Amino acid sequence: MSETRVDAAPRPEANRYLTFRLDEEIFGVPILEVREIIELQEISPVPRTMPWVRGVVNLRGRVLPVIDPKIRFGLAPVEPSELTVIVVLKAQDASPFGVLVDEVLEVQRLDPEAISETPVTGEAGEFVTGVGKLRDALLFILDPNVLAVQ
Amino acid sequence: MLALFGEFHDEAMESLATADELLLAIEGTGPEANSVDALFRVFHTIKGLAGFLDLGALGALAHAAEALLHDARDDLSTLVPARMDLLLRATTMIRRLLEATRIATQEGRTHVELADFDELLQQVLAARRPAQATPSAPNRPVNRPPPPAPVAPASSSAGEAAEEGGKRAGGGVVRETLKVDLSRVDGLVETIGELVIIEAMVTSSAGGSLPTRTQRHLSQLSKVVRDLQRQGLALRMVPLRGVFQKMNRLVRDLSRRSGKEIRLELSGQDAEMDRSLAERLGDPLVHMMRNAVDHGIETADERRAAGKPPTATVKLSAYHEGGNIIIELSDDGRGLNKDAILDKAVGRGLVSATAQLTDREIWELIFHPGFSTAKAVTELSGRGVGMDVVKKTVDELRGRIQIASVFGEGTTFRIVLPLTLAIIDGMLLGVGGRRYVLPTLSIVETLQPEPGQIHRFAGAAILDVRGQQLPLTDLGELLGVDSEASRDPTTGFIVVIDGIHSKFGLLTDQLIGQQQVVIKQIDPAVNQNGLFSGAAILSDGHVGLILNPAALRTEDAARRGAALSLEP
Repeated sequence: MSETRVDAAPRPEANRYLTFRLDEEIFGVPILEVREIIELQEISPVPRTMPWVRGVVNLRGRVLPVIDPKIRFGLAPVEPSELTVIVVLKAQDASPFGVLVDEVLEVQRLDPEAISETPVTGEAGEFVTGVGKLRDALLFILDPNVLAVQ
Repeated sequence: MLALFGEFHDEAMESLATADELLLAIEGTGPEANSVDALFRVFHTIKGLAGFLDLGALGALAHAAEALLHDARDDLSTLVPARMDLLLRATTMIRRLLEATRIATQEGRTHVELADFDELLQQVLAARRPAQATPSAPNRPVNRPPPPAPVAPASSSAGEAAEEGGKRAGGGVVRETLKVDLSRVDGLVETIGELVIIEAMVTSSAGGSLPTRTQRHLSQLSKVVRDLQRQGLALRMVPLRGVFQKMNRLVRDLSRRSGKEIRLELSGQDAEMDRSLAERLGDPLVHMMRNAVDHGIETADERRAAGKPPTATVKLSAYHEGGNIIIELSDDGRGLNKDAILDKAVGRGLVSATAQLTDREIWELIFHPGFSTAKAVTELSGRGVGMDVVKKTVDELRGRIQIASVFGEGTTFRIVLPLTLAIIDGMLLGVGGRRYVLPTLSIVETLQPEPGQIHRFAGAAILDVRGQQLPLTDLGELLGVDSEASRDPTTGFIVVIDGIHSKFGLLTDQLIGQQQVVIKQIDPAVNQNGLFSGAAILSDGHVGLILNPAALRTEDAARRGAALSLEP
């Protein structure tokens, strides 16, 4: 961002999250770190790599690794369905990667005060930076930097 | 102060290369007005730039060198061998100083010191004094050249000097050039790569279902895309001239220091290859050249005794063959000594004493890490760096190196390299329903195994090819996919691969065909064991991983445990 902003007001994007479903839970990632959402396509598996790397896909001529967050969280792998999509993230310290999700939901606005930093236990815990309260569910906010292939 | 240094550095390095070329030409054919003028301008330019950037020491040396050339412009006969020597040493010193300054700039230092700088500067200054003592130059050449055009803004005259050099060496061809940021070229080439992929996808998915007219247009489009790709890649191509010219200087220095008489013949300097490949080729060539001079070439006395001309000839040539570039380095020295190599290899436990090896296999032993037949580490080829480094670089560039040698008559090294790292010829392999790309250059042969050709013991597999035993890697098993050939090898195919240290067989289900592929990077994080050297978008749009043969073998051997490996 090269332009200099005089006002101290935070950009509105800063509090917005792309939400998606893994099994019955709702997760979110900061919208600023989402590059795009692409439809599910045939993933070429990469042998002998981390189990949660499902493989690589051709994203307009670039080779993009795709991870399965459910395997990462110790759950059963994402089963492809009509709703399954790949969310392409660009974390700060890593190259772009795709995340397989069961269903992509909507963009939610959440003020920092509405997010509790209560630690989450379990295998997903290390990826969750905070928990937000939606009308009828909890939103687990994921840190793309931790989720990234490293 | 050093903000503009980067640009100056590149420009000065180019000028210095021109200077070396001119100096060597003068040394070979004697001084002539044109080359002395061009040389004068090179040093003058460097002096000017150095003054501009406040690089005092550099300017002083350039000035002193320029003064010697000033004399030579008045009287060519003042360019005596001692002065030529000083000029050559001055180019080396300026180069070192530039490098040291570049590093210092990067590290934020502003002070650079080179131990022997002052000594050389004094020598260059001293060289002129006797000449000045006899100012009456009586035998001034009659055909003195017209005075050169006034050399004003320094930056443009560097271009002129470089142009002059290029023109001389290239036989009168002056090419117009444009300097472009490398990242722009890479961006363009990458976009063209995407275009090629999409074009292939469109063509393959359209099939025969289109109207004739559309098909015709599509094939025209394909042709244009291929042209565009070729031209895009050509942007990154540079002639090998730069790399080769350095050899001139190297051979001259090696010849001086070793006392051996050597003539270097260069050919194919205009052959082009990818800039990044050409750059990486420099070090292996220097090493091979040192090796050739140090171990291959005999002294003049030895050569006379062997009935050879006292001056040895080293030939360095480059030419295109198929989609590859071939670089050959041959000498007419003593040749490789088969027995000495075998003795050494057996002594080191690299091969068994009873092994029956072909000549080629014996020669290839010298590529083994740490193998060196030199009795002692010498100043010239020393530092314990062996031919294995050469082999490793060539492998990394996805090329091959071959040796031919006749004892007593000489040795030829032949390096086969792809023209570019961006595209390779690949063999598409099918295993367990998946497809992988194997670089064609690393393939020696392919075969369909017959029963009895594969022997297994304790989990390892050995392939018998015409009496030669090779380790066999089961690709399906290694990659953890369900392969028919793993269960019954006779249903599959074996690709014999020229690995880093040895040949080995790779068992796969299918050979799908040859395909030229554009290499894409894959995230190193998903490829931690390095089994793949990249990925390619296949014509149906899917990703095919490119196998890294050396890593396959290493990984397979490691899995089985070193004890069972056939490799040393």
